[in-house]
Amino acid sequence: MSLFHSLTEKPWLQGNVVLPEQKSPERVRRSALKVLLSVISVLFLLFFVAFLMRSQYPDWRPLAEEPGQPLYYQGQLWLNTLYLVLSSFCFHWASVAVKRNSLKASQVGILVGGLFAAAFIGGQLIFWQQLQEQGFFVNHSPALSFFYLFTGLHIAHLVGGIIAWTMALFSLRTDQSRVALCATYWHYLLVLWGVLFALLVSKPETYDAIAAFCGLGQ
Amino acid sequence: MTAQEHHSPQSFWTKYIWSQDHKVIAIQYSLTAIFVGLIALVLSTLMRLQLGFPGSFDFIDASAYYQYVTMHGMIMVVYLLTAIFLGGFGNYLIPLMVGARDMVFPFVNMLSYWFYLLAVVVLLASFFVTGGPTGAGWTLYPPQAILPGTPGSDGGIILMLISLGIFIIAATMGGLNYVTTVLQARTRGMTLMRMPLTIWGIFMATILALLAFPALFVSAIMMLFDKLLSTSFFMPAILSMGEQLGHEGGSPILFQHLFWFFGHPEVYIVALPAFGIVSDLISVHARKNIFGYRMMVWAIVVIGVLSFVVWAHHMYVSGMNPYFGYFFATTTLIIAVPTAIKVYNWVLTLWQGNIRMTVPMLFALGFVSTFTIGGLTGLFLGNVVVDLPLSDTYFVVAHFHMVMGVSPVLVIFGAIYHWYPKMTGKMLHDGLGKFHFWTTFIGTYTIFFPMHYLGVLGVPRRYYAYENYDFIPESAKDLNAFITIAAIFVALAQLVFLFNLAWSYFKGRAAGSNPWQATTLEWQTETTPPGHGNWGESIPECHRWAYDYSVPGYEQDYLPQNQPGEANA
Repeated sequence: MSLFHSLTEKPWLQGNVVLPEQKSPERVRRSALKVLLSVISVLFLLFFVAFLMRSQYPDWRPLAEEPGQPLYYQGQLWLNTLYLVLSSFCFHWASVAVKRNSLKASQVGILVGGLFAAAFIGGQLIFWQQLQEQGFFVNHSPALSFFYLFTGLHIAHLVGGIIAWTMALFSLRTDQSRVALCATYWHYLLVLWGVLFALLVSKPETYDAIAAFCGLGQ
Repeated sequence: MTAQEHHSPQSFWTKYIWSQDHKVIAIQYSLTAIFVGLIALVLSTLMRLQLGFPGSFDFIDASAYYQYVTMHGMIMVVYLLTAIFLGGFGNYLIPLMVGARDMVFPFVNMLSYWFYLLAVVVLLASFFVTGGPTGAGWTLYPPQAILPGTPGSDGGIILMLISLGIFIIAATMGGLNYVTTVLQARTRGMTLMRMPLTIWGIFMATILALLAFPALFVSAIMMLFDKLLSTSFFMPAILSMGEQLGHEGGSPILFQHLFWFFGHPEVYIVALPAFGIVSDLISVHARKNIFGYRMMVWAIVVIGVLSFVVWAHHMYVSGMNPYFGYFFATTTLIIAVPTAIKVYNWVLTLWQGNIRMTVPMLFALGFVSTFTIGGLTGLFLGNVVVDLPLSDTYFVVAHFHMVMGVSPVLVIFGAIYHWYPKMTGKMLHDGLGKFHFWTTFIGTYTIFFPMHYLGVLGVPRRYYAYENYDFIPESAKDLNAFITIAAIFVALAQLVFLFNLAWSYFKGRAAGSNPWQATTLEWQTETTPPGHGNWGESIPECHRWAYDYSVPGYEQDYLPQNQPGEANA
């Protein structure tokens, strides 16, 4: 039933309306996951807006335009991205294995996926350390402050995912429905990381264009 | 032993402390919110003592005054009103009113309360750190909020920001539960349009909270970075105490945008549950179906959506582009339309109803009055040219206290008088309740109505003392003393309410399962108060909407939602 149809019902005129039985736990969890992803999206969207607004001030220095800037060498970040892609792929594989009733394959998929996620987090922390060794601390420039903020929050969300991952792993024999939810969450975090990465290494002209499009230009 | 009894918690700890039962969590939320709200009430009385009798109390210096203002505002808006409407009433009423056994994620629901309690503890801890709590004003505007010269600019502001972060995590965990429970755990027959308006109000307010609180979270984290790690998100290049600070190029206006993107929906996070609850109180106690149910639902949805595109009307004086001001003034005035529809519908529900002047009804009527007054002054302030001269005066203090201070608090009282019998099995004392209503209703008018006049006189808000301002007449000082006396009187009257809560719990008249003869499902439980799992062996089915009152052709003047048979013909 469409939302519009629901909202135009005249409940005072109706006879008995019987809904189907209460929803399955999986459907309830998926619904909650959608709400959670919406909240996380709004959170990061607001950060993006803040980033774009801040990028329009004269003291803004890009991160990856020329040698000597903090993100000019991105090898470690690309390696980390590969870890996250593999992690997401493993979760997808596990999710497909669950559908095929292959418990062993799903176990392997979810375990390896979790390990790649841990590798991503470790890689991000190594990159932070590399930056600090070069003197690029959090207050070096506004753009770099955003880099630490974005990557830190992204890691925090991944750590939250790892809690869900642990629950999914330990309940795999009795309840496989969590695997698909984990996969969705991991895909989301992969896409989010892609957007964050692209935003952080973009050129000032890109920021100016997006900001102008959003009416945020100076 | 039934299945429910088998799974119900057995020990004191799991039943009352680490409880996962939505009803216990609701009461935990409510008691904590009332406790912290009483602290905010005491702070407001201390502020009034300074304003009414300046210089008479040595312990209230300028710093203390600003700390009282800040903590009063933040506690009332976030830690009392938001927490009690969503965590308190939301938790108690959603599963019962939609016919569910509990929230869909009871463990997360329990975590939500404990995070909320932690947020309160961290907030109150700021009273005990060096420099005391922050005195930056509840809006916490940088750069002043984190610079020396503002009270509590070290430990105070840090603890405030951390506390807000924890609160938002708590609200998100709770919100996920409320939204998912409404969407996925309604009983058979409970279509969206058969839900009571209370649930609609709480549901929409929860969605607003889930989408608006991230803005506060973002600003709190970025300000913490500015404070602790010397970043420059919000902090411009600045001289402080003759010293050049390390910040450069940040934008305080960016903070204002983020804060008010949260701050204005916050008004409706508080108002929408109040709208819903008042609709139900009026309908039940006037024995009449709510007038224009569908329009009431649509108005809740439209107000929720519009509340995200009006935030900058709080920033007219920030020097924004005049076209922005024009846009935000227009959206602000448009939001008055669905709001006015609701007021008309409440009045039309009362029209020719069989009105029972019970205590909940008195509070509901009081709300319609104070909300209308507060809403009308909002029309003044929504216009840029009127707002500019009034923005920093007591007119604004009067406006927002009427519309989102007094009004929702009256609804909270009305709701407690209405649902206390279900929560405890006892009626609150009627005489004490009426005394509480009239003292609070007339008392709050005597506090806030004169403030409009002070505002028009040009008396500025946020001032600690008003000596040596020629434009402020002597009569304004007398009026301030009068307001202070009224405020003390109203504050003391709340002790009667607290006494009533405690006394009635032990000595109150037995309520029975449905003392108000209401239709909604929470009144149809097997036991009162409802046991663990709410419904005994089987959950109720919903056969009609929530407003079948005084239906022609039936002997009794209400038809419970779980009563089978055709709806009103």
